[in-house]
Amino acid sequence: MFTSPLKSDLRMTAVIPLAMLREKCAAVIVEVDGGMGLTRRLAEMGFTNGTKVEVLHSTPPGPIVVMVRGARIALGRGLAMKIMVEPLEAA
Amino acid sequence: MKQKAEEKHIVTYAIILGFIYTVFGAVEFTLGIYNLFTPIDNASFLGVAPADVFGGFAALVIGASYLSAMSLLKGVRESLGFILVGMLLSAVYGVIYLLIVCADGFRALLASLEGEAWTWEWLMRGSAGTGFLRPEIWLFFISLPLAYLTLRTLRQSDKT
Amino acid sequence: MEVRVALIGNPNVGKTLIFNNLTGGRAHVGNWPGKTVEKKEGRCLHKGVEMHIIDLPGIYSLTAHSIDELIARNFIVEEKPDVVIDIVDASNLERNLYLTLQLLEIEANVVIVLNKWDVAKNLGYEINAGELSKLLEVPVVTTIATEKIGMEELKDAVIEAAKIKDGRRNPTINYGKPFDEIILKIASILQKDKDLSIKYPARWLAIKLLEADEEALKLVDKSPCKEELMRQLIEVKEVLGEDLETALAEKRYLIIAEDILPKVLRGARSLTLTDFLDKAFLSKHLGIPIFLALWWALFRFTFDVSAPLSDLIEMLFSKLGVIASTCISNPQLASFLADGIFGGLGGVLVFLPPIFFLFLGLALLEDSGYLARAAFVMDKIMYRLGLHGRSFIPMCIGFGCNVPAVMATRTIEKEEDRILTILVNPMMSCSARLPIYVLIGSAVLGAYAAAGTYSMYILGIVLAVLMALLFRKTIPYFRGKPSPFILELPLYAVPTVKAAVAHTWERGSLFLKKAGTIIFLGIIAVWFLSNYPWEAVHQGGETILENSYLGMLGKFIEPALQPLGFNWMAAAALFFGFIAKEIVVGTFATFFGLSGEAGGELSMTLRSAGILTPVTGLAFMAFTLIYIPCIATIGAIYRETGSWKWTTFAAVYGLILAYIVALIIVTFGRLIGFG
Repeated sequence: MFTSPLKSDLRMTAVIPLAMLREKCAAVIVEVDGGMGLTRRLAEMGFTNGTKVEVLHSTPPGPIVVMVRGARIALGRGLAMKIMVEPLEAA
Repeated sequence: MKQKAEEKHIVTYAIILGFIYTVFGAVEFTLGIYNLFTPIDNASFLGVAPADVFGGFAALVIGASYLSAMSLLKGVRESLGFILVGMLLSAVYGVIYLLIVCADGFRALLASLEGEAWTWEWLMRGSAGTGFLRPEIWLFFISLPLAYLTLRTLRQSDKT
Repeated sequence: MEVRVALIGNPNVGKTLIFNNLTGGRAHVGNWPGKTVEKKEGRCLHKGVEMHIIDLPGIYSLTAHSIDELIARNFIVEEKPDVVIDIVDASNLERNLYLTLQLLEIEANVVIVLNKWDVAKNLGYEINAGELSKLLEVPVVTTIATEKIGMEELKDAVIEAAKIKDGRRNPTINYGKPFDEIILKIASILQKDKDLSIKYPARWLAIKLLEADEEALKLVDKSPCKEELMRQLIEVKEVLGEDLETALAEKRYLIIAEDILPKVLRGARSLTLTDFLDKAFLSKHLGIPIFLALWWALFRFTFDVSAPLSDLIEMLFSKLGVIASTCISNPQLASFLADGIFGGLGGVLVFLPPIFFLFLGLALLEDSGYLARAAFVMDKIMYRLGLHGRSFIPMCIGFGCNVPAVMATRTIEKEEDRILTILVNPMMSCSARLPIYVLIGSAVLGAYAAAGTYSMYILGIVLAVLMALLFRKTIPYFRGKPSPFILELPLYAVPTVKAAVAHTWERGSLFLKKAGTIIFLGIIAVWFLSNYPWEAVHQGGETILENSYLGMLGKFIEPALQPLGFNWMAAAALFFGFIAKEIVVGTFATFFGLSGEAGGELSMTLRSAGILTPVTGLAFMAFTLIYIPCIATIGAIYRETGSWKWTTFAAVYGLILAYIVALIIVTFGRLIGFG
């Protein structure tokens, strides 16, 4: 699968699923761990590798709302578990 | 600082409103449940709060929303949202109950055209329980100044 | 000059409003050939040019993965409209431009509309429309659709664009190494096939083939170049990997972010009202209660505020009926006019107010942006019940009328989820069933009438949930979890009256057209069956209903329903409920020669005639809740599922379930002594 060079070996900082990101935290998408259909669907909505996301609302075990490319998108938690992100330092 | 003081006022106002809504909500809800099992004719508390299960629940929710504004004191700015939503719900219910009373009046008018005797009953009874005396209607009006204050605070903060 | 214009854009960008602004709100609604998706068309006359405007579905992309996208894509590629208006949400530029790039690639003659210009400004964005136009080499018009600003400029731009359509090409979108070389290679192979390259832009088709686009592969299947193409594609896959589709999608966003946005967009998002409101609406503890409170308010609005209008309609038609029966001497004609026609019309129109009020309320909730949050908040629960978050809105609509509710399931992508929602939808107690509850409730339940009615609604919801779970577990087709939930949450906005009314009319007119005609015909049928054979029924000034066809029908069905305590009158009423639930009350009324009002006289008569007891009355209410959906709904189900199998299943399981539940109620009631 064609992915960006940020994969596997170069990972030094913690990479966690988007579902575990806390409210008001921002992160960069590192990898989307789903089947082809899922990955494509997410990519269309703007969830691509290297994209910055910010969690607006997260109240487990419910869905999660993130800001991605200027739009608010609500994702089911199962889905959010498949998006791997690298948290950014709090500004 | 001026803003802090104003915020405090808003929160106090909201908490008082929230408390009142909660009380009425609890009364309406309990009366409503009781009414389901042992029906009383035209049950109402003080002739003001009718027996209304779901309406009571709704009032409780409005109360809860206003009360949640308490976290504003802890510095969570977005809690203004709870007041905003509380206001929206107050408005929704206030207006709808008003509309219902008017609708009842209209029906009374239609009935009188059909030959039935005209009564003023719809003002104090009817589909909204206690007509114009329904607390949610008055609480809506009381919440209007709060709305003004809150929106003003929001607008001011935007100018920073 | 006549110009064919297509409207396209992401959902929530204001496309409907712009369509209405352009066409003056007059739309012709049909279907895309061979599909169940609606096709909206309209006309617009501007400076002597006649524009024929076609509204394409709201989509995020032009892949072959969903019906909506395919319809839009095929329309552009095969019908080759003169102009494609790409409506972009200026407050959401980055994501919206994704579709724009795809439109450029498919060689559409694009005019970009930057709508919601005011919202973008308020958010703190500054957009250089001129620069965007230069970069993408297409005209860009800024608009505020809610205030009708920019419409004239748009029309001008469309006409200009149509004039220069032939002979212009869109800029090429470069994907960089190694993609561009491969795309060129494949495109050149494609160009050898004359038939294909006349119809489809070679570069676009090449990209689709690389993405393993199903439809594109089908197109190429018959081509003489097929072998060469396949060889190339296999080679490419070995080098670059399987999932080129995602890779190309990423590239597009990269182009937007690096090559376009920096030159076009300035400013940043500030904390908005939306964030404040979401704190409460999406709150962990208050989110669902707030939704329930709003839902209850909607109900109250729907039924209690619309009541006087229903009264008015009732009065009007019964007056007309009285006039008819007194002025016309021939008793059969008089009866036909008074009870049949006027009764029929009245019977349909009396339902109009609650339905329209419900749809108005829903439209306000939807346009304000709240409904998306409600779907989000309910998704947790919906998921556990085996339903998709998007099943939520159709179920809300179902409380008004199941017909538009079934149609609203179109937004659910996965077919299994969609069909499950459709099957379970009729359990949502539509507004037609309410008069039945009111009638029976006030007749036999006395003071508990209200409790009885509430319990029906709750029963409906409970059964819907149980059936959804049951079907998921037992029917192999539905095995597996609902598809993942992704929903865009629009910014909150104050709904405009225009838009709300437009949405209300859209759904309400569906009820009027489909259900309205059927209900009307049904009432006429009841009239006929209850009055004929005329002499047998009308003997010496009295009406002996048992002699009518209706009575005979009732007696015929009676044995089957006896265990439930329903007599032949109830049986006949239920039979007509199959045609339209609205007719049930009317049928009872006909039996007693009364007007079809659910209150007062009819319920007293019902009680004194001793036809139903509290227990059997409750069972009857439950039966009407559950048994077969009305004909209009069945018709809608067939249209949406396209399969007799599912439609019959929906009809049959309802009957069986209704019988079982009613039986349980009657047996249980008798056991605890209510008899």
